[in-house]
Amino acid sequence: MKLDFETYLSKTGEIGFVERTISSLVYVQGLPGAKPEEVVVFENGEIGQVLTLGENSAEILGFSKKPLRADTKVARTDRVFEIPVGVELLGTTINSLGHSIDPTKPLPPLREFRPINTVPSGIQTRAKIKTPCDTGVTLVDLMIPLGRGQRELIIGDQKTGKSRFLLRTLLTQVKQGAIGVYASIGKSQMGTRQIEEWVRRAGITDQSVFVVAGAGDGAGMIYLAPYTAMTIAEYFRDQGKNVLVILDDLSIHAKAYREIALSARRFPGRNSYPGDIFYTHARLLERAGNFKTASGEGAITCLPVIEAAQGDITGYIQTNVMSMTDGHILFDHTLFAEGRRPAVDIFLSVTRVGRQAQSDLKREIGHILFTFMRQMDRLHSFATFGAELSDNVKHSLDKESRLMQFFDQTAYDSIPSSVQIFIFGLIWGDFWSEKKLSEIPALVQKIIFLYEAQEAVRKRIDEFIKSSNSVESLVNRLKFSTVLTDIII
Amino acid sequence: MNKDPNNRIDEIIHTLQTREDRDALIESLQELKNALFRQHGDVKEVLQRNISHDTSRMLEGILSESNDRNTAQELLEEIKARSEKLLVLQLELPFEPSDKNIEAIHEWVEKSLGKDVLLDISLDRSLAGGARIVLAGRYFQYSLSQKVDEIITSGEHRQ
Repeated sequence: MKLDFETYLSKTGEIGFVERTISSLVYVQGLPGAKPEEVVVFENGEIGQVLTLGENSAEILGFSKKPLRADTKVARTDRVFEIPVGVELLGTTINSLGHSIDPTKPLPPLREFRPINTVPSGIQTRAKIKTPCDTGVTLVDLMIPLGRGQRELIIGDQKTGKSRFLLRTLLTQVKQGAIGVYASIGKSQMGTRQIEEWVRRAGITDQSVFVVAGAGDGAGMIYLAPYTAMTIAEYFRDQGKNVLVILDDLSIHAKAYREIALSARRFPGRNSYPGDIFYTHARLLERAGNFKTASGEGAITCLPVIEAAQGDITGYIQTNVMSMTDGHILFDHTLFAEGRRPAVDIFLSVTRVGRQAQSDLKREIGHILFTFMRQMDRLHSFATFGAELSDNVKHSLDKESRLMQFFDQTAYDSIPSSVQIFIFGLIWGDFWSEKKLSEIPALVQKIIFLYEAQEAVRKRIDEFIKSSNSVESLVNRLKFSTVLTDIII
Repeated sequence: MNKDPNNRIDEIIHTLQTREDRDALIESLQELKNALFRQHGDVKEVLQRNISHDTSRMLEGILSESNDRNTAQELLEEIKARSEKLLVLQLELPFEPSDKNIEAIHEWVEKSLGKDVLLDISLDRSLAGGARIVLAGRYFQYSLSQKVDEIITSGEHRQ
């Protein structure tokens, strides 16, 4: 949003002068007609947004990195904050104001502008979540499934594999035709570059938009970033597309908002966060969902990320966001240290909406797996006593090891849904009971490769899975059909 | 006849024409307050010893009626507070106005607005003529340069 100071000064006939600047806040004397959330422009071309109004002054949230000098002139624009949207955004990296962050690659002029603060749609425009949102990560797709339009919180300690999981989900969804919007909120430049590089190597840049507000940008820019990302997602949703929005991460966003509120001398609430911190996140996440649009149904699936230091999920922001999402996936630092990839704690993770979007077969698989893993978890504590184990117990432990080998996704980014079910059937039906544990990753990789490289194999497996309506029928048909020999396993 | 102190303060306020006048008055008031605090002697003597002749004449009338330093301090505070509340009209002119110009402009502005106003005059030769005015956050552009720009932009000069 580039605005000309002189133009707006002449147009509105009102002027203000900067009195003082505190952090991202600018206090301006004058501007008698200023309205809350109105955009103002400074004489050096920078813009700001009116936060609160005093009798003769206005408190403005500035977006400039450099502090503004006292007596700088300010003009009103009589507009709310808007960003340019269009298909031209695909493949670009922009900041919270909608400008390209690479000055050598400016955005083409876009015709449509949308306000970043909107009221979430009401119930009339909402549709039931009925399509699965595949992440490509077997453990999640089978046991903590997501649906398109769901808001699923990704929570965990730092360096537990959250970003890797998000990128795999982005890859899987973009390959299925969705648009990806990744908001990098308060991250380091290097971290953001690594993510961009990963996306570029995966070949999905053209279907993705990056919104970046780095750690070096002001609190104002960090505060705006997720709203900008959501506005872009809404644009593509209205074109009838499915969109995956990743907000990485909202705990930094909360801290930025706290900094703004404390600088503005707002009364501090719990943990010094302002009283409206819940509203700040809730009005953002409510804009995700499955919608009926003029172009058909379009879903915005939102994956907000929250950091939980030392695995503490009982914190203020953590519990706030958990209560406003449709479930959470917990990345556990202990599991990560043990070498589990992904380090998801399936017993503490929740999905409230994903199962209704699954097929009957997948739902049954999820139920079986969950029950089985729960039994194995109890069995492990029993087995540590060193007592003699029966053959049944040994067999179950062996099966569990094979499943864990299957769930380990260190080597491959995305496993198609049909392949996940197919391999589950092979393990559950003991087809690989003679194979060594170390051979399983190679076998899995082989099936994935054949599935992706050969259309005949892909068709065969897809049809096989489609015609299996229960785990029992899946395993029995694997025993008696020629699908295994056809695929040369 | 003793005048009401409020009336005397009004008279002092009324003599202020520009922001510089006000700033100078406030500086003098501060010096006088400090002097009253530190020095001994009659209030009138302290007044004459520490501030300029013009300012001391202005304040003599209001301070000479009471020799009590506390009362004097309060009166000085009152003058300062009222002068700080004065409306300031920012005026950008393409020329340096003389004292007579300033007086005439000030008189006209006070008559138009009906209240005490201070002028904050600055020089901007790029205006070419006319003036730019800012008052209570409102901005008025009456410059010759802007008029010329409008004529050129609208193409009127070609007609």
